[in-house]
Amino acid sequence: MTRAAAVGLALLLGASVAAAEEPLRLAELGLKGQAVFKSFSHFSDAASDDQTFVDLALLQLEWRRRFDHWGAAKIIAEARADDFGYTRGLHFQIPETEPRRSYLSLKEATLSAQRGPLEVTVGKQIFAWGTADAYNPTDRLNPYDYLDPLDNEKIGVWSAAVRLSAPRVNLVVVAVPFFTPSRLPLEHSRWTPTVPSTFVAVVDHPERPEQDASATQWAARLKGTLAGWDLSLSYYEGFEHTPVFRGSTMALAPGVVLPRLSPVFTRERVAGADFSTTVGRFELHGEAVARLVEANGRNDRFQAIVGFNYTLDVNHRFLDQMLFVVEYARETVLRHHHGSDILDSDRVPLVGARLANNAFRDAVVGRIQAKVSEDTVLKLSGIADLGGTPSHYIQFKAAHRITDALHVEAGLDFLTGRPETFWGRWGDNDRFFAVVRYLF
Amino acid sequence: MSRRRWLALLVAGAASALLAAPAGAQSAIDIMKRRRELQRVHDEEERQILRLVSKSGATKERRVTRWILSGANDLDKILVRFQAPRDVENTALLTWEGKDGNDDQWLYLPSVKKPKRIAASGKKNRFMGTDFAYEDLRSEALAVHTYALVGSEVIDGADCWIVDAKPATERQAADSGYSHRKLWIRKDGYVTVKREFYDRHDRLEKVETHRKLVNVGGTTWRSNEVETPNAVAPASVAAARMRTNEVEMSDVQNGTRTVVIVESRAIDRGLRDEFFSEAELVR
Repeated sequence: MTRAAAVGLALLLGASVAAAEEPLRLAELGLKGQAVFKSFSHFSDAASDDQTFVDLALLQLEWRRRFDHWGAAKIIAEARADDFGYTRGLHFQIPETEPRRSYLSLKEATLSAQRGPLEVTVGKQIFAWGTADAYNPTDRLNPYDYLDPLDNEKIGVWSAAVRLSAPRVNLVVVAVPFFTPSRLPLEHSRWTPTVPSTFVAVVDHPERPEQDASATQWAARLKGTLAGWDLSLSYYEGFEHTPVFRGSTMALAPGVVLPRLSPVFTRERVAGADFSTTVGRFELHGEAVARLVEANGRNDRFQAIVGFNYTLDVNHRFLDQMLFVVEYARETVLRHHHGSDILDSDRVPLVGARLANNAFRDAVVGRIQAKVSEDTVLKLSGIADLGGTPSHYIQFKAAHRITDALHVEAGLDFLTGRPETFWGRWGDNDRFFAVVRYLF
Repeated sequence: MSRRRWLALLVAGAASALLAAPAGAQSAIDIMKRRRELQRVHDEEERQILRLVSKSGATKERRVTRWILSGANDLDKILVRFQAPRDVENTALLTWEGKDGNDDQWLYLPSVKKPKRIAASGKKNRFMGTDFAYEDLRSEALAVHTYALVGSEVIDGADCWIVDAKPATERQAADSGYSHRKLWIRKDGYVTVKREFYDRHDRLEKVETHRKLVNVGGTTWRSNEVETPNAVAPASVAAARMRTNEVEMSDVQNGTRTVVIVESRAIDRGLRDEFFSEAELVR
């Protein structure tokens, strides 16, 4: 049994025992939580990684308190372990820049004060803007943990948010004083794409922005409801959380010059809008942004996604309901910054799209969800990247609620396409996964 | 026949017609309007236990809090939030009733961290595993139904009108999961004590029964299980606000049941329009 599996089982057992023996004591303390064990079984070795089994365990504790009439507090703390090396050491950073996760960490920690329609929240927060399902171009405030890009999650940012609410309109303004980059796949992970042996380059450490006033990011969103439409306008001024590559050369010796790639972060201004409405049985939604480069960017871009949800009531003994989601995402270049030394990450010579960070340049997204019963759901979802040579990501997942507290899910991930395409670069990473979740 | 006898017959006929008028002359829509008028409050908060009973008898419990704000033109705002169990905790549904049944409705799932607008087709879906459809949780939409008085019946010793409600608009007929519903409304207090729901093939699908009526002040009553014993309905409840503190929805086709037990209730505590907003939904 692997170390993480052992830790996971211990956490699950510990949580179960704690919940079973002392439910009142936990509740009295205002503590709730979940223990999660995940196991991934890859079908083949990858060029850079021969570990085919990866196990992760997570224990999450949550404390919430509402104070009468004036505010609320929330803390979500996590303990993690895994047998790949995603998690190492104990580090508490503001902002988080460690490439690996800490054994203990704060996922969220907020304090809110409210007076009338005005609410101020400070702390480590996770925001969720936008109306689309697969991808939200207007949602720019939080970086992601992409150590496993398919099993990614948002990273909270230390920030202050002011919300002004009226029945049909609300305005949120957020300031994030520090820049937190997304956590990228580790160097020897199967998720770091291998490049052809003919491609030789020097890759620098990422150049992160100085953590001073110039690193401050801020965003605002005005959302309203009018005649059956939810409409939002949003603005973000800050950094893209995944790096792009600045290209240059390095002379190693007279006559020996190598390409040099320096990961840098694009500073940008992003103006966006989104909508959601219903037409008969369809829920229609869409988002669009104009991303204008301030520094370290190659192109000003327009990104949009539109789609619909459709729910079909079957009411059969073995099939209660079907949900269909279809979305189309597109990116176009508004303006090319001539003289920019930032590489086009979709078309690096000899590398292709192996360094690309956007799966939604020209993509169709689909999800079919069959609700067999209130406790059992089957999902088939896929993303087809049609930008250039097509590549695909397909996931089949079955989720079952054994009890209100114990949930299991299992499924398969398939990644297809040529090695130089967005999804095809991870063609060796097809896998089976299983998740056990105990809530207490 | 003498003129005097004709006159006597005429007077007797008129008198009997007048005596019959209070019950017989009231149309179904009048009853529905009167019911709404009498039972309406400015705002209401209920903490409820939902007991889900499967066909085999296995039970699950959910705890919810429901807030209602009566708005202009008889259009309410309703917020329902799950408190337990853990896997659905903080899941919330916000409904803004709209004219012609054209409601705005949003579902908040904590895992997604943002509200999602629900399409009309979703309104007939069952709410979080209960036997209640989303449309069952909204107030009666008088503007989009036609009502017919189809009889009377005594339920638990109280005489009730039986009112048949059918979708009156194409939109409502398309959005609703029901071809029609029957409502049993007490004649003494204008409170609904039973509802039957008929599917699109006109087969009886669900039966909702209200028990344990309590007076919650003035003309408003509700049903309750945990209210004080002396809060049961008196013999005469005319002009009383009534609530039922226990509601059972039985799916006669699937054999499942959902029992709603009201743990506590607060009425007219001054909830504001701002409370029924996205800010509260995602809190």
